[in-house]
Amino acid sequence: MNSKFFMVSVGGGLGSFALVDQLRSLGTSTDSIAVVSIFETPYRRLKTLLENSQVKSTDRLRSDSQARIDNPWGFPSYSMSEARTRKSLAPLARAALEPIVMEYFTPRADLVYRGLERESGRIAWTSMVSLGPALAIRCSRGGGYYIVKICDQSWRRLVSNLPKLPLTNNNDQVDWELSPCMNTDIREIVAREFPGTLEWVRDNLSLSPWINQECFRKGDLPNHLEILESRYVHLASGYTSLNLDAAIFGDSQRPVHVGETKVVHTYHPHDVDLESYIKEDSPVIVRGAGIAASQELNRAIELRRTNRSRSKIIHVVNSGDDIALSDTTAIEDLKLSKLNKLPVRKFPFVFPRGAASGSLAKELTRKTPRDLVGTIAALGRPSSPKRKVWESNTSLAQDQGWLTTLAGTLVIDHSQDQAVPGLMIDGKHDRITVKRGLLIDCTGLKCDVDEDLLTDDLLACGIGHKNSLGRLYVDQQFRVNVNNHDGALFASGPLILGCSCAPVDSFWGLQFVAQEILSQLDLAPKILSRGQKNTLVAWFSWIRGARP
Amino acid sequence: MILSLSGRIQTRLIIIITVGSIVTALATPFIPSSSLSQMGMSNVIMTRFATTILNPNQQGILFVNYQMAFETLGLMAGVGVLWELIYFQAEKLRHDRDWPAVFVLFQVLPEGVVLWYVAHMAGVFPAGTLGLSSPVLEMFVIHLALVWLAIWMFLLGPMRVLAPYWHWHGGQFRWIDQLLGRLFTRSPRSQGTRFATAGSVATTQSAAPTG
Repeated sequence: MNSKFFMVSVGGGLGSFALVDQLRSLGTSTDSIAVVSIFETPYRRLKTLLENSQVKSTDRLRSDSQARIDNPWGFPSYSMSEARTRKSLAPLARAALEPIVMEYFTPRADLVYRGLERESGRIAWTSMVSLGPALAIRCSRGGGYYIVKICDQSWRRLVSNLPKLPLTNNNDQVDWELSPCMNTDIREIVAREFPGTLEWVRDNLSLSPWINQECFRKGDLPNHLEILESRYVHLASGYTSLNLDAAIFGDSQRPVHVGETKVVHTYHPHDVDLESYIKEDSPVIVRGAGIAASQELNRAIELRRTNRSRSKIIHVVNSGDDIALSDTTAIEDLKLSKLNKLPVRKFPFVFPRGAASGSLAKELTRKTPRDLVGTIAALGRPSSPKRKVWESNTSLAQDQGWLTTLAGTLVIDHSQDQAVPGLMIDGKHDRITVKRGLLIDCTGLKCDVDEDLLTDDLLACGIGHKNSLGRLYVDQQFRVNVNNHDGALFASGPLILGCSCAPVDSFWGLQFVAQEILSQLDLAPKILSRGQKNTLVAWFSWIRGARP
Repeated sequence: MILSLSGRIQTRLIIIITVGSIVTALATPFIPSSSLSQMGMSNVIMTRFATTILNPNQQGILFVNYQMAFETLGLMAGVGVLWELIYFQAEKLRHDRDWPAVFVLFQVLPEGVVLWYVAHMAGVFPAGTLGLSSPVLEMFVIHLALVWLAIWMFLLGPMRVLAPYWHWHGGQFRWIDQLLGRLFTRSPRSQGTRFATAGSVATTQSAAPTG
């Protein structure tokens, strides 16, 4: 067993990064922190998901300029850094004059990756990473927690072979590097590649929050498992899977075919599909009212233009008024130019900007849990930002009659006159049948605590509880559990949606929760390499790029 | 970040006391103000100097300028608190419930006009200098613009480095929050409670699940 850590962050994505970055900036030594992750880089899953959903490195994210994930102070902001790299005052002007004169400034994806890369290097991220998924967490009688995980070497060995392994989220053509490897995939990989492990955990760790050290006597532990001991644990395992519509995808986690129509989720790798369907003039249907749908639509419009294609592009949203057509129409016969334009909710950010801090955030903290859940659900309804380029592209396409937005649901058409089932857009009044085309489903990500190996176990053994949104319950201090001897289990990220901080999965939310956690830790001198750093000193080392 | 109401008031007062004072102290000698003495306002200067041992010479004018500048600054803080109440209500009309930086920048225009009148009513500037041809207008405008620009730029960046708590807690200061928390029993959000001490937490489970 390893020596006792001060903090183990389980997840290894941006949630973990936000906390570890702040801990390290204050001078905590690398020996006292461990990050349990399946990837070596903190932004690996983010980047894969973004690239898959057509946010390429030059595109912009939907985030505030000051919420800078690689800089806990938010200064210099993303706009300042962009101004510096581009040697232009335009980003600064945009950030200063937003949103009246210009659109809200949002950072470019490559700037975010670069910043994260630099900061990971500075805080020596990789030296803290312990590769391998965590399987269980238990309270120690002596204070703190035990984390049971697949051991580092075993996971490394596995990953080096992974391009050859089939992954649920992958197309046949693409490899491990393009897979976001969601938590449900991890569960599958563990069950398949380490047979008997989940059973071992179930049989040897009783379903109680407590555990005695004797359970881990040498020899009892399978070779591919290891146990970390830590005073504090931070859980940030993120989204568990893609939110796939069971009516179309069934049980499959992979792209499916409905007749001759291919159905992919926006987070499945599908660059090749999109291009090939556009090139052969087949219709492209994008479903969803969020930013991913806007991004996909814009990409489809641009591809259609560059390839001089004649594809029809249909945007389907769940709500809104349908347009009266004459009963069932084939998509080929649909006259898009005759249809009205259906408005989609347009807001700059997922949650109102004030939900992060300020008066709206204060109102949220005062609400009872039941009211809070309702408010958060209402505030976070899907919306898409207004971007000039997108607006002009879509309105041009609408005017030329090859793009429209329809209200309706998507169903599989099993009607008897068709030999193969087709896809059907089921509007309130009318139906549109699709024989051949590409459907890109932009229905977001799912965070189901029952699906995740670790949170499922936490709930089963009584360490954690569900909140009214079905996520993990945390108290006002973002604690899942407190070990009354010494130590606590914290959580952040989408896992805790429904807590008093509304935008939990935004850069701001991750950093906000991280600093709230940090303010509760007992930063004893022994875990600090050279004493606790003053915020100003820490900031200067950030500026200089010096190791904290 | 967006400021809460308490954060707005705290920020306004603290930032004017610190950044505002520093800018005023440094800039006042360089702000053109000679027009006051040229316009035959010696009576004002004399009244002002009744309380000092200085003579109405060149240093004396500087002293008067300092006095006027700091009095303006004080009014800016005082009247500003009322302004913050208005902005706070206006903020609620926005979907995003935010107050973009550009708003803060142009806030100075209405505030300046009101401040100009209030300063005259309060007797900061001599009577009869209210119009556009006022000998103190130039000084007032330059002083206000400098202070405001410095405050605006300071809030956009350096403040976040110096006071991380301010950044994360809607513009509130830790020590003020702690002070208010001690005065009023209901403690403000997240005071960094340390629970590591034995006995502070009774149960192993964090709390009962909600609804």
